[in-house]
Amino acid sequence: MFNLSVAIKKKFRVIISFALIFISITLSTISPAFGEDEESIFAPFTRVTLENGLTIIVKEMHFAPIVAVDIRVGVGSAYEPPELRGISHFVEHMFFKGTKRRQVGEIAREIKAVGGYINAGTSLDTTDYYVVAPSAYTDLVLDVTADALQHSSFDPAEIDRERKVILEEIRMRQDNPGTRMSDQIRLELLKGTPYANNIIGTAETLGNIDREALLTYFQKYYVPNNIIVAVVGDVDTQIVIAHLMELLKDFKPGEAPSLPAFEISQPTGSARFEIEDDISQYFICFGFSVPSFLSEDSPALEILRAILDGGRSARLGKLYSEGLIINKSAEYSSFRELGVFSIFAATQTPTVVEKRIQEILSEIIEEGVSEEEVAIAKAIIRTGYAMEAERAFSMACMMSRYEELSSLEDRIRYEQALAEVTKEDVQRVAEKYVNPQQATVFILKPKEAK
Amino acid sequence: MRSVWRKRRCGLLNHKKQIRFSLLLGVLILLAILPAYLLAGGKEEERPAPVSLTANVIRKVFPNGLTLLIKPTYDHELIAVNLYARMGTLYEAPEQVGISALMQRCLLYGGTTSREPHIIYCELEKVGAHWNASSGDDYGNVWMTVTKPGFYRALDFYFDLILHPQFAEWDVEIGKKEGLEKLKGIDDYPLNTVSILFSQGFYGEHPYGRLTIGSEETISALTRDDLVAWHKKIYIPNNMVFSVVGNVDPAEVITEFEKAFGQMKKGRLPSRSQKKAPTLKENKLLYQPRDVGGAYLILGYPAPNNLQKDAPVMEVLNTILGSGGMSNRLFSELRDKRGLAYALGSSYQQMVGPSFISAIMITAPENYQAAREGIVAEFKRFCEEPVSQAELENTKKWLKGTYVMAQETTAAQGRLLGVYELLGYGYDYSDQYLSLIDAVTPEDIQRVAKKYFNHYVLAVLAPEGTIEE
Repeated sequence: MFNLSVAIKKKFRVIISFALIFISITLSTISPAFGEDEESIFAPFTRVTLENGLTIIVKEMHFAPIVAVDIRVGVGSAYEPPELRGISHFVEHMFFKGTKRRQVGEIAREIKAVGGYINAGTSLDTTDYYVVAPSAYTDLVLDVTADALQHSSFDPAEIDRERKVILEEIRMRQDNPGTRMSDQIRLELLKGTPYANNIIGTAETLGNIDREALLTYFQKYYVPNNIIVAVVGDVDTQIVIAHLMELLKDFKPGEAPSLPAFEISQPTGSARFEIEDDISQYFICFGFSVPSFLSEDSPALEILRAILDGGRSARLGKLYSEGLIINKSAEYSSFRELGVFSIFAATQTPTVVEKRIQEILSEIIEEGVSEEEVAIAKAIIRTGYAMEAERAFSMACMMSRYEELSSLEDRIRYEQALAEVTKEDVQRVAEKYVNPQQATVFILKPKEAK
Repeated sequence: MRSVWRKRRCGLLNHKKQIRFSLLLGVLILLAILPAYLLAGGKEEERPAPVSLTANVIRKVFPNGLTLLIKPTYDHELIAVNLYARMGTLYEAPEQVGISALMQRCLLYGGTTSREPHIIYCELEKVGAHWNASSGDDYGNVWMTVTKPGFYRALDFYFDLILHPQFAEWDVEIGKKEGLEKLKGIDDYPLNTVSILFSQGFYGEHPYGRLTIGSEETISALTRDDLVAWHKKIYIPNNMVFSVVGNVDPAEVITEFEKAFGQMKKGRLPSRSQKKAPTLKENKLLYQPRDVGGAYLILGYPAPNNLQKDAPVMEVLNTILGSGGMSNRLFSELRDKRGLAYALGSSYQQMVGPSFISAIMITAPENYQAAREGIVAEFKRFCEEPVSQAELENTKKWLKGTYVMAQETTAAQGRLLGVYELLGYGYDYSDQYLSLIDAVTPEDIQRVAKKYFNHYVLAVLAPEGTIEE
């Protein structure tokens, strides 16, 4: 098997060198990299959609000899039938396990052998797999990527072993109060939508998932027209595209899946939940249902998030200087159709902190924010983007995700829209979406505090 | 959800080029070039030789002992500034454990003698600066990352934070309260609890057995005067190593540091604890029953300190055992082959003082015995059989690749330069490291394993009844 693999690599390298003579002409005339003149961490980049519908995004970054590939599949737990809850995540666990050409563990060994790493994650509406390695091994990284996509073997013995591993993962998640809380708030806020589910599944649903179910699911959703491959790093765009074209040329398209239509209910009032837990401090979470990043209100929501928690001058930081909290955060996460805005605090004085968070939000709604706060939020976000832009892995994951959500061009325009957000925009979205009167509040409290 | 803002500039959509390549065309190309390939003979490409990561670093030691390392880079708009200084539990008196952590926290939040905290936050954040401070067992750090246009403005505030912290009474009290509340919340996370259990078991009375944030007793007793005195002791020029990585003019940077620190007087370096970790004469088990879903295990053996010659050997061993990636022995044997755990791995803590290598695993309580035996067996395997040349070469390749990848960002490069210089490796250790790793042999690994893997400390957090003995 090793010899075969080497032979394929050698053969391919030479083929590529000749193929480029032709392809480079084709690419340079038909596909200029998008966004040469755009001020964005994502620009410029090149996109190719293959005949089978698979989208390839390539961004060259030559300051470190590293390549990162992120495979983004447009399926997550929102697509699952309830009796197979957890199957997206189960498939994720099987993906890099082995292929027809590579035995169990061989993919990880090959990548590790060159200093790289692989990993994966399942979300509500996407699943992604990434491989990061020194760029001298780009051929190998692309080969592994294409092999896993097309030839994952789903070995029966491995399925049973991996089921046990996922059961362990369930236990581990249940031992983490932060995870328990974020799971609960998401279930409540997204109630009535396909997004209100438990990604990892339960012991019962995992028991329903056999090899046949996994293969059926994999064949249905892992079709090229539902997949984006982002390649970022010290690579040559045209070589990468030519290589992937060759590796994926036999990958047959299927029916592009879609979520069943659903209504997003507008919040009609506040809700409050107090849950006792085996913990020693209180965890408070304010959750709000907000639009996805495709909405015109999204840039202002991101600025609002930064005004609340972007830096040390941010408004939630006051809770530190008042000695009320030991931890806090404000998050804005976006799925395809909707988003969640949440404010989190860990404290020993929950009543005061809950009231203070309400006051902070009310002040923004009633009195607005200052020009200076908006300017600071923009500056902090800009540096944050620049920090992300240094890492090929972050860039590959973000680029595949944004392309999957809508398009990278939309994301670039989003960055430009961020620069145009005004203090009035921030006040307006705060009133519209982040109103404490309409918050869903969760409080995890120590058992002994009855 | 309607997307209005994205339509504002819909003209840009014209740039969106979606190319559809015909599969037929691809096949034709390949057929056309195949003869040329066959003639070429398919020669394997040479991998590029490693490049020096520190060749362009400028090292400036001021007469008062302050060390400044500058690495100019021109790829990014970011500039990362790092300060490293000896502090932390290794240097703290038993009655003052946690003083470094509190001092670093108050540097961030308490303002300076001439500026209120909120002014500093706003001014630094107006130029987009991100910054933080922390302290561990062997050293503390104050870092800042900023874009080029705001660099010198931000540097002025950064220096002020380091040199003239106010340590206002009100803020010190808040910092202490925060510390005490953090202590209360530590056990909410089982991994924290089992790590502390292991640390206490392994280190006993040695300072590393203490929590870096201190204990209820020590935090409560700390005063503003203590912090002022500690700051004076720690922030002396000969205890400070700065690194600046990014798009900067080195001469200008040196001038700025000269202005800020040039007049400071050299002082006496903080003295570190000379305590030793307890000698293990038999295996030690620490079991804490708790109503948790899984069994949390940490099993560790002593290991060489950071500057000992066997440290690179242990690093290679640790990589083979369970660090980095999904193909190490622990992962392959206990997770992949036996499905015993979701999360497991190993860690080699190279400290200035006594160090250890440990395996960590979260498993079902009923798997506890198998997990423990499996982990011990993997450690002992290093004593019993030499690693194969192939496994060793793969591991070296991985370590070298990882090492290069770990220096991807300006901040990461700055961190390594500063830490290596402060701990005595020399800032250019990045370049030596690769040859030290290259020199490790299977015999070295077996020798080091036999030397260190005699008795272990095992910490377990698991439901009542998990362990019978």
